[in-house]
Amino acid sequence: MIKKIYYARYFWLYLAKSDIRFKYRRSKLGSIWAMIQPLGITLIMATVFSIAFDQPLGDYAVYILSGLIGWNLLNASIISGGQCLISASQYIRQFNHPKIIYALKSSLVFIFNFFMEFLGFFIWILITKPANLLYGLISFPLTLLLLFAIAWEIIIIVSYINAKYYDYPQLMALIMQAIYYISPVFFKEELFRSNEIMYMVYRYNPITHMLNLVREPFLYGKFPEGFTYLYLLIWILVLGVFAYCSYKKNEKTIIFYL
Amino acid sequence: MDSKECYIKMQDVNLYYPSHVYNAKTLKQEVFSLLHLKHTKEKLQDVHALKNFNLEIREGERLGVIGFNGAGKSTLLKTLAGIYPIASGSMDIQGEVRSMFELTLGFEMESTGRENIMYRGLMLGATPEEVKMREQEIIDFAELGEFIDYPIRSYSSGMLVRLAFAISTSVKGDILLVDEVLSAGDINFQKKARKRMIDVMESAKILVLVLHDMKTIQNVCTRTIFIRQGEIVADGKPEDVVKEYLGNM
Repeated sequence: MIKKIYYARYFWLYLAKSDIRFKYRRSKLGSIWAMIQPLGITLIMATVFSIAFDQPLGDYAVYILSGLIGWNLLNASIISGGQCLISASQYIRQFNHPKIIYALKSSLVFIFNFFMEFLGFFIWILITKPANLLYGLISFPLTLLLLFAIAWEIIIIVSYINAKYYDYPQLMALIMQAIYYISPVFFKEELFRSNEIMYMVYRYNPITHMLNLVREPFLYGKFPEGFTYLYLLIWILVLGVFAYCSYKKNEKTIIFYL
Repeated sequence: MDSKECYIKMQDVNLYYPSHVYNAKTLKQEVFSLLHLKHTKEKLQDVHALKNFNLEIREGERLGVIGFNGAGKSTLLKTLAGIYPIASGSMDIQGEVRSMFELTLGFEMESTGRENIMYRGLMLGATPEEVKMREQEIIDFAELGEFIDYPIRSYSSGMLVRLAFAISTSVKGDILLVDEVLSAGDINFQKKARKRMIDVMESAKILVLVLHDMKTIQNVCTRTIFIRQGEIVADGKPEDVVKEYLGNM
């Protein structure tokens, strides 16, 4: 399998590159849009809060931004990622490349997008908290690797599901909305401390830890705690097993659904 | 390329198209049939597309595959290409397989002709350098000139077919699987395309060609099989098998 992925490397790399180019083709700013979008949403919120509610967001704004970029990556992997086999069906019907290269392609595209969004956040930190950059830059390569692994595994799993069940994206959009409210994307830790169950949900929500990979170093100037790494590694392992099983089960027969 | 002798061996191969994919119902249909408001649509059976299929092709053979529509010709090619999974039996292939099926499928309409050359070339397993090397030759053969840098959604269907044909025939392999792609473009181009196609086919170590044009089958192939309902009913010299096929019409 790995040999086959390697053999097709030029193909999926090119697909990823052209996906990125294609998304912003004909737009003047190109992929800078990915940087502007979450930054813009955060600025709008900050403005609304300070004018309408007379509550300047201050540091909370950058907390929101850090939540948004992580959430966008996860959301894209779970919802848009599901489409990757369906949209590649023309290739799949002609060539016997391993299907997981299409999930690999999507995860590369989403990670690139995450990186561009992150750049906006990075500039913000550079201006407001330059002292934290050292922690941030040291931890970031590993962060990117972990997030990439999570994204790829998720996309492998959901791409097979979506190819079989076309209701998937609609249903999943609703579920993600629910997950959003039990995750610290906008909400801060204090909010989850109101009762024990909520705090357990917060503590064992993998999204909390995904976001902490970026938040702890860049916002608070310290390395993510050991538990965050350990817990995410366990998730990567579990998702990996699921991804492998769905690959084994579906790789050959998925063609009939496309 | 591998210096080992190429071959294809299929033994007792069975292939089914699973019916549950096509029997899938919407929620509305499920509810209606549950309430007996509507006749349940008849369940489709699994399609047994290749039945105890035995086929051995040795290096140097150019095999023609003929048969009526729905006989399993394209299924056979797609199975050899590894696209469809076999349910039972064994399939052993030695050599690099290159397939030419629906040529214009999988083009990126928003991308330029040049970018699509890269796409297709890489998809066929070439490296970026190899594609770059062949690029000019492909553009010349497809007679696209300056249009190569326009997005291909602006192409006429003839231009698209020419480009598709030129790209697909530029990447060679040991085992070539060809499904009805000999006619491309207008009369002038067809002549040129034919010549190139025959060159490509003759340079392959093994050719499996699905075609309805009996004359070409007899000219190009060294052996021909006649398939009916997923089974080989005749196998032998092209003249004999074609005669049997025509006698069955």
